[in-house]
Amino acid sequence: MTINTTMPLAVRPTRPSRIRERMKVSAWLARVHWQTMVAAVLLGGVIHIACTLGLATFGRNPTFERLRGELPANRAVVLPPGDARVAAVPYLAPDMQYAMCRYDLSAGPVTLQASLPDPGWSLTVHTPQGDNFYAISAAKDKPTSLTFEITWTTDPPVRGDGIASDATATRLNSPTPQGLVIVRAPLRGLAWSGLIQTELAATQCQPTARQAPAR
Amino acid sequence: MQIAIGILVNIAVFLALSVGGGLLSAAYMIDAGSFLSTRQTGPWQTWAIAGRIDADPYTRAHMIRAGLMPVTPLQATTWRATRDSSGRQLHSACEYLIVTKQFDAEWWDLAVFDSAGRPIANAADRHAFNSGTVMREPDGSAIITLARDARPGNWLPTAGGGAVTLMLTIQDPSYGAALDSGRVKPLPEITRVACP
Repeated sequence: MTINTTMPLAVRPTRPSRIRERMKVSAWLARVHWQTMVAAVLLGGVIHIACTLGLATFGRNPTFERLRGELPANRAVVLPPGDARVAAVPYLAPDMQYAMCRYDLSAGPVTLQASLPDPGWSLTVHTPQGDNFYAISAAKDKPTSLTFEITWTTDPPVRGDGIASDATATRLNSPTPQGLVIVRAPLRGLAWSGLIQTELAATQCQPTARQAPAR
Repeated sequence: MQIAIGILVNIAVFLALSVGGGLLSAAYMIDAGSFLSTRQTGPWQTWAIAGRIDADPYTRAHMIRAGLMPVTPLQATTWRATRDSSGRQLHSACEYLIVTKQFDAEWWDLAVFDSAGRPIANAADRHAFNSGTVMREPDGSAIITLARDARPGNWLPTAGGGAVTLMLTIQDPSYGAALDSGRVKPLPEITRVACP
């Protein structure tokens, strides 16, 4: 018997072997108890929540792990355009130049100095998981200069939206003993590249010098 | 025998539904996002509270899995598009127009990446335009062409990238505040012009 493909599915003849297969599958599925289905859905929900919470809580950001081996601790590094360390961060705008500082507060606080001279410049501070717990952009009309000390404490450092709870604070409490500072500078054209590199080179990141106690 | 088959079928269905369903649904919610964690306007999608230390578990898991270092939305909102305004997948073989009409952000940056988030290598060494580098029309708008071969004006090369992703970063407090309050401001359309 020839099958006319223009015929509606309902009237198309079906092969006996396929009918037998369908009957087998439906007979098997008829053996599944409703309790099994409910239990499977419940366990599926538990697995869903466990995977999501597990990754969100214990997961390691592969970008920070890679940069940990490539950036020196407590030193600002200006990254030239096309640097592999920039390409290591997914979706990092390629028409910008960057200065990065991987800080490690296990030996004490770190002092950060940076300036954001033009619109588009920004400074962000991230935890190893990628959370951006502090961010500031260049002011529209005047250059922004920043100097603050990054310390490690268990106190909540900033509001949840990444804005420092005290805007005039000179101390920034990091929620983790390690992290990453990124200064972003938009490239207005190749001719500006040298100037932007010079401005980025003014970024400083170093262990805070402690005064010896008076005798 | 019949009882044994019945038990085996129940175990198989239980495992497939619980383990498969749990893992696949978690992977989907973490990779693609949902209305709980993302906002959409036209073809553009953003993770609404990416980067914040009080971000929801889906957003945090997405950031960690993708290896992102996002900026908190009140400083800069980051939008990604993998489809054009008609809902078709963005592809390097096609040509697209992006017109920034009625787009009044203080500072913005539009960059093109491959599907893994890497810049697409090209002879012109051009990967992005921002509000400072883009050439503008007399009315202040900008027309950006996304194409494999050179085009006049603001041309963003997509040579050999396969599926491409556009990323629009906006530094403007009003866009962040609008996103925070659930009112998303309109963003440029992505129009497919030609596709061989």
